[in-house]
Amino acid sequence: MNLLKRLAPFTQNQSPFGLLILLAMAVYPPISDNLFYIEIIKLAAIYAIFAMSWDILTGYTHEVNFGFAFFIGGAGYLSGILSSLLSVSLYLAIPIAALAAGVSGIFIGYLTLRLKGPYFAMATLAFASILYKLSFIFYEITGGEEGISGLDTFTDDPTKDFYVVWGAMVAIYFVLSLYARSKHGIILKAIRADEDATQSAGINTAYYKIEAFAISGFMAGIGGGVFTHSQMHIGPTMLSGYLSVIVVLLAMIGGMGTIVGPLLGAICLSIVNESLRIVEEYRIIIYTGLLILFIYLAPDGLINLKFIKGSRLLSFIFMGDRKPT
Amino acid sequence: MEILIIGTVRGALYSLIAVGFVLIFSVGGILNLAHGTYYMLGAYLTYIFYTFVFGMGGINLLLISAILSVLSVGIIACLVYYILLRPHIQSLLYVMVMTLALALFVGEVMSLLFGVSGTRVPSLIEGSMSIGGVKVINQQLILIPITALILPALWYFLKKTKMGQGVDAVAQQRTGAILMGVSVETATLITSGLSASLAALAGALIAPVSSVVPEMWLFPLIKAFAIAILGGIGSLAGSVIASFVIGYAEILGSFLISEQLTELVALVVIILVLVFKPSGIMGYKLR
Repeated sequence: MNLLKRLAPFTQNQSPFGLLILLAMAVYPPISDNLFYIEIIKLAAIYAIFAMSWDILTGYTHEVNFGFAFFIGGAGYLSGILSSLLSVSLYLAIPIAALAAGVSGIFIGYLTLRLKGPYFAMATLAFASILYKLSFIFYEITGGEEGISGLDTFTDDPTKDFYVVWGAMVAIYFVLSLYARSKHGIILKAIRADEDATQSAGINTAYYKIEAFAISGFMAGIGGGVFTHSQMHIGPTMLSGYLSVIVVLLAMIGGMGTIVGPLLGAICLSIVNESLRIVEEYRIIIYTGLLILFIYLAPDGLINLKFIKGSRLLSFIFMGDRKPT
Repeated sequence: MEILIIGTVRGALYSLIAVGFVLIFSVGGILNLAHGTYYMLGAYLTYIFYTFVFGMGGINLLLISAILSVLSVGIIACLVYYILLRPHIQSLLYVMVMTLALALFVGEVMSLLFGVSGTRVPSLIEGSMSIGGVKVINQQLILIPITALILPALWYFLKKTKMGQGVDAVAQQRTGAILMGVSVETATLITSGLSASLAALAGALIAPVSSVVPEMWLFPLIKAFAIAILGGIGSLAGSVIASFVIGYAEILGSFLISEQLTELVALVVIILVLVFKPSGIMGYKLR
């Protein structure tokens, strides 16, 4: 009973559906011993990390970060280089890389603070493209087109590997959803609604925006490091615009500004993407076509659809809100 | 001398691309991330028309297929605007994500159809010319007169014709234009077609001298944005000046430092301008 009480802040107002997804993913590997499917949900979990950490900045402030690959690939490369060239243990390399991503989040956040809308989006895109180009220019360190292969993994067993990724995803989910529900998350929402009004209420909006940027970068750094080591490989695709766009699309289709939405979107769509491998040749075309269709039909995301928000039961199941009667 | 000539060629190319990008942004408020895709489609459709429709005929047929491809890209852009973008035009995020997703989609379709290694298109005019000891390929040189023709024509269209004045009015003062009875939707539709056609023209002209590959949409897009930022978003004159500035800067950079750095120039310009002077050379102050 005591334990339940202590866990209460973690489960209160959590989306039951989100918890269900997390639980379902955890119990899946013991049921099935098909390594291919386990690999698929591992990838889905990693994309969920990316989408959720993107959401904490963009979903809550509506400043579109279009260069998210900067943090993912940057941290991935850093931890890959640290563990392969300097033979640092990966349990040290990933936190270092994530911290570096967080610090560069502060730096970029500071530089782009005054920019709005398209200007902000393009500045972040430019940062990511610079890193992408640099990964080719310094090919002695980064391995150029090939990237760095043969990195350390967490364990030798893919199932245990999956649990490491899953653990990271669950931790990030809870940290981010608690952050979003805290005073900080509410201030970010206020900035989204009206930055000037928030400022005139005596709130240092710049601080909170940079803080969100740093957290988003740090979480993406963890995701990137975990991804790199679980794949044993890092290449320029991890810095490419394609990855940035996919993360944006996954989070948008799930529903921005909810944390659980991006989780849902990323996991469902990644599973769809992988199951399209039966028609490998057309996979990316069908997948991107599908994403366009989703965005066109539900621009606010699946979880923000009208009938979900309108119904008390559904909005409780998906969002965890208890609306007053 | 070399820097001057090649820089001018590049500047002409960039201004063809960037003017359309700036135009659609100032008229429709659309940050068209599929602009590079229209450039790519210009090149690919020229190839498709020339190879599959006309069966690799003579030089006249190549010219016709280039014109056809420019026209069809204009029509495609109008359709994209009307069907995909118009319903949620107010949401900047929606427009950006949709156009970028389209760019990825078209890139993938092209790589499925024609492979990642790309295709080639023959030149409109063969051979090369030597100016002041510098060898320039004729096909590249042709860009200069065409741009010199197109830009004044565009200016004439915007300032002197009734339709163009409507477009210009929407760009300057949206509400005012609506009150004066200008249809914003028509203006945006025309501008989408026009800006995409300009990008496609650039693509069709440059196709013979650069390889036509599925990834060719990305760098024109980044450069168009760098130019738009440097020139000040909403200013056509500024964007033409900025195109040439960036063209020369890139060539200068590649001569002085290294070939690899040319593509970084545009990116660094974006960040420097955004950080230190967000309104650009001739843009008005940001809100």
